[in-house]
Amino acid sequence: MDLKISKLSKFYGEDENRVEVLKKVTCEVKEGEICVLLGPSGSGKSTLLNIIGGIEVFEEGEVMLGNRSLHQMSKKGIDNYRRNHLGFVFQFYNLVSNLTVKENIEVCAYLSKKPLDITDLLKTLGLYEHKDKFPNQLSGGQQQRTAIGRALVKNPDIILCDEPTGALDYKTSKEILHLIQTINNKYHNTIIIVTHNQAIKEMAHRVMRLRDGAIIESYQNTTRIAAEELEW
Amino acid sequence: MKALNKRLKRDFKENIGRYGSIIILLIVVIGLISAFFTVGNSAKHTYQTTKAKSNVEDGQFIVEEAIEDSFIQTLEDDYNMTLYQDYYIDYIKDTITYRIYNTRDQVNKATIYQGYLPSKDNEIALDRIFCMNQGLAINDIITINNQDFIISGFVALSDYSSLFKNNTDLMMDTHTFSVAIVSDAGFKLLNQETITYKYSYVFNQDNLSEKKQRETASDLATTLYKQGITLSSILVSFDNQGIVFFIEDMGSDVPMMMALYGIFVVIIGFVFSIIIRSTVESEANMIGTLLASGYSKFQLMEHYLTLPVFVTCIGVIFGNICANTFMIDVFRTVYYSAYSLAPMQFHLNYVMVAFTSLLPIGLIVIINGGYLFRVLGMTPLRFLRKDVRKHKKRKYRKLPNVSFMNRFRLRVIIQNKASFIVLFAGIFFASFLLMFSLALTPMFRNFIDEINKSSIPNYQYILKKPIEYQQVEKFNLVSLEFDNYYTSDMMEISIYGIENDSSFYPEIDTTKDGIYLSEGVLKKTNKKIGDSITFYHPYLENKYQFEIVGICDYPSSLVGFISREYFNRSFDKSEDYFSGYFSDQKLDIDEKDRSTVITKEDVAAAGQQAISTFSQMTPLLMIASILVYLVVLFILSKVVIDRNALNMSYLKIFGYTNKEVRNVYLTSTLLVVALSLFISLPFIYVGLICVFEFVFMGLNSYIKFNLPMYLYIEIVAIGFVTYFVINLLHVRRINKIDMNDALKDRE
Repeated sequence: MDLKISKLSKFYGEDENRVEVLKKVTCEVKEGEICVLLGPSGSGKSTLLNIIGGIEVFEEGEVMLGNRSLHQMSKKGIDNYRRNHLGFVFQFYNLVSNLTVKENIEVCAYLSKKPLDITDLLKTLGLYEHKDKFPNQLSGGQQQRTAIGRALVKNPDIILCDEPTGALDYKTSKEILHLIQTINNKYHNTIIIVTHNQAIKEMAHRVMRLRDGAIIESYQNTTRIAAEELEW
Repeated sequence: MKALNKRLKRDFKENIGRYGSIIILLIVVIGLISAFFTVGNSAKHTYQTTKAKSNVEDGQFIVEEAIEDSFIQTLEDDYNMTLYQDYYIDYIKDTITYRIYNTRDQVNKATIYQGYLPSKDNEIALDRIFCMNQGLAINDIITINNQDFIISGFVALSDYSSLFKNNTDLMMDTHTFSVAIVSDAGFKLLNQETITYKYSYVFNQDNLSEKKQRETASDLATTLYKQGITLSSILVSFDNQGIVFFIEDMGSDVPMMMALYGIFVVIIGFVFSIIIRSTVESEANMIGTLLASGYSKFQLMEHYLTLPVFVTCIGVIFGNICANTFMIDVFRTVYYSAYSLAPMQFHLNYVMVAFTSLLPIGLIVIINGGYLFRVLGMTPLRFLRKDVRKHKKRKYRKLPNVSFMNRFRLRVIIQNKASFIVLFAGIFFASFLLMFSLALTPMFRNFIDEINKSSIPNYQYILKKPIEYQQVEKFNLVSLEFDNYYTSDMMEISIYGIENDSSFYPEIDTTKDGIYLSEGVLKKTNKKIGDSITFYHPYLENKYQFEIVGICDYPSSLVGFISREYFNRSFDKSEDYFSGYFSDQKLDIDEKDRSTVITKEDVAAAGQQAISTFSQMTPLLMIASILVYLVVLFILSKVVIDRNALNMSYLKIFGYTNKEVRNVYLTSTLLVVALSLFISLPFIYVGLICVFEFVFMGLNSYIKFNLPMYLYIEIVAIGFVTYFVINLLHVRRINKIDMNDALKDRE
């Protein structure tokens, strides 16, 4: 399903403190694309991601997933939208600390009528040996892979990644990006990555650059670089 | 530190539900305990002051006929004592017994509670509690022996501070028994043929040891026997329930209340410990930063202990204020509706105020100080990494192959095992208290039912001298004593000799030369059929040994049965000797010929009295236990929710509905509550057996321990209702958890 955003505005605060954090943003991400959202802190990229994720509401504009409008969905409809169509990957992994790797993935498998095979997924993620470990027994990379597995297990239409390599070292970051690319190739999910890291744009199908709540640049990569070849 | 301590006020405000509920619980429990001790202390003081003023007897004996003055003088000289005539008449009207004394101005003097002592022949003073229970007021008229008496006053007699009609009675009887005082002229208007010749004695020498007093009483009994005087009973004041029961009852309550209070305080200490653990875990980054910045371990210990100690102090201060203002009235009412005491002057029990105040503060500092001392000894780095667990690596526990949701719940239970262990302890403690308070009434009701169902005759007439009646079953009776296996006290047993073809006890085989004992005697002596048992004469040195050949149906009492023929042989009586008649019908036996009439209702009345006495304590215990349920459940389940708030936020982001989130976290708590309730039951059963065995073992009666099934259901139902009340609060709390919380917490 394609994601279409048109004239999306988002405000924080009221009266004289009212700040427009997204200014009539319009963009489109095609099904199966990797889209990288770049921009400095405060540019509105995480807010845009949260709106796409149905976590934050917006005042003006429209967000369409396929032919369904987010604006017209009830609270329950939004819950179902997240449940059935989205997967989330966060900078700090946000794993449930008292569940094992496998159980963290099962958290989202539980929500899906047709989840991916967890054993296969664990092997794909390189986590099979660690499936019975708790998050505090894992490295950052392993934790992020678990988070990716949790997002992927529902086989969602869109995976939203908020700074997925922000807390990782260079080598591990590349491994995670490689994994994201592998997943995209294998399962064809749309993946939206919010990042500060300019280098990551090279692996994307589509790149958008935000500044002060507005998209200042949007283009498609004609040639993409494999994640393991990225340098920064 | 000053700046850091500013957050304590904020923490208190933010968690006012948590701290407020602990404060309320502390106020109620400390209030109840402190009030109990203050009133107990005051009542004890009042009792002792009155006892000293009233010249209470050191002992008493009852004889069949009045003793000649010359022999009284001999006894006084021989035993260095002063003997007082303390005659009384038991007047029975309907179910009520009035024990009427002549003016008592020398021994066992009356304390006037309201009104005045009788001076005219038509005036009577009655016991205060009896009048209260019967709704009698001063100037009301009661008719005794066809004479109208005006109630001139309410009195408390120091030898009847506990209203026992007979010294061997199981319970006080404040509803159908009253002591009364009339003037000398009034006493003469009563039926003189029914006088009980009671003599009270006071030793001329103070501070005689208990041993010496007992030896003197035994010697006195022998002297009276040798003089040919028929002694009905002799009693030293140490064994007189009317005199000592109050003090013994108070004494036995104190360790139990102290133990309950101690357990309660330990539970509250651990509740604080769970709160502190959870706070330390959630504030690990801040603690790490402070330690790294130069704060010492002890400064942080002081910081984290301040709020629990402050909350406890508030509870202690207000608890003691409530205790010594209005709560004392609750206990005063309890005491004054059970015991016949003079008006009470309050005396603060400083030792107990210190105990109720320092124990909780001390235990909270020790329990939590210990934890903080250990945990704050870790390096700042471990705090900064949020690695504050005792064991660095969480141990993987393989869970049973159940659905994911059930495994998720099990993980929540394992994660919060410390909270749930304290929760179990709280539920067990509250259920135990609740079961104890609820069990008393059915147990005594069962006691009454068993008596009513049993084959005990409706009337047992004990005669002063043998009078022949046609077609009425004769029996022989003697009161002996046996050794209580558990308490080593001497207990009284009634041994009946019955006819060979007794219509009341057909199951007893009178052809055997052996004794049938009631279940109560077997329990208290730890004997079984086939064993031999020795009984002792209460006043002489005679011993009687019997072989136990069976158990008889005489519930709740301490009795033995043998054949009349064997009885007369064993006790050196003539072949045709008998003591009285069993009958299901009322017999027309002249009062002057009969010594006592024991009715089935008399036996059952003890149970009824026990129900009314204990029923006053039941609501207090119920309130205390339900409060423990509510507070412990609320705080600990809230800790579980607070600890997992971020995880709940994640789940909501992933698409879990509020109901599904609640299903994971609240159902985990529900599982623990349900398990705690059910697992507690057998332990409560065993615990109560021990408690009741201890409570009932010394009674001159046998009360079977039984907990009806409906009590278990009630306990579980109360537990679940409490859980669901708390659950409603948590449902709102979980629904309010915002998804943005997960996005804000990015550390």
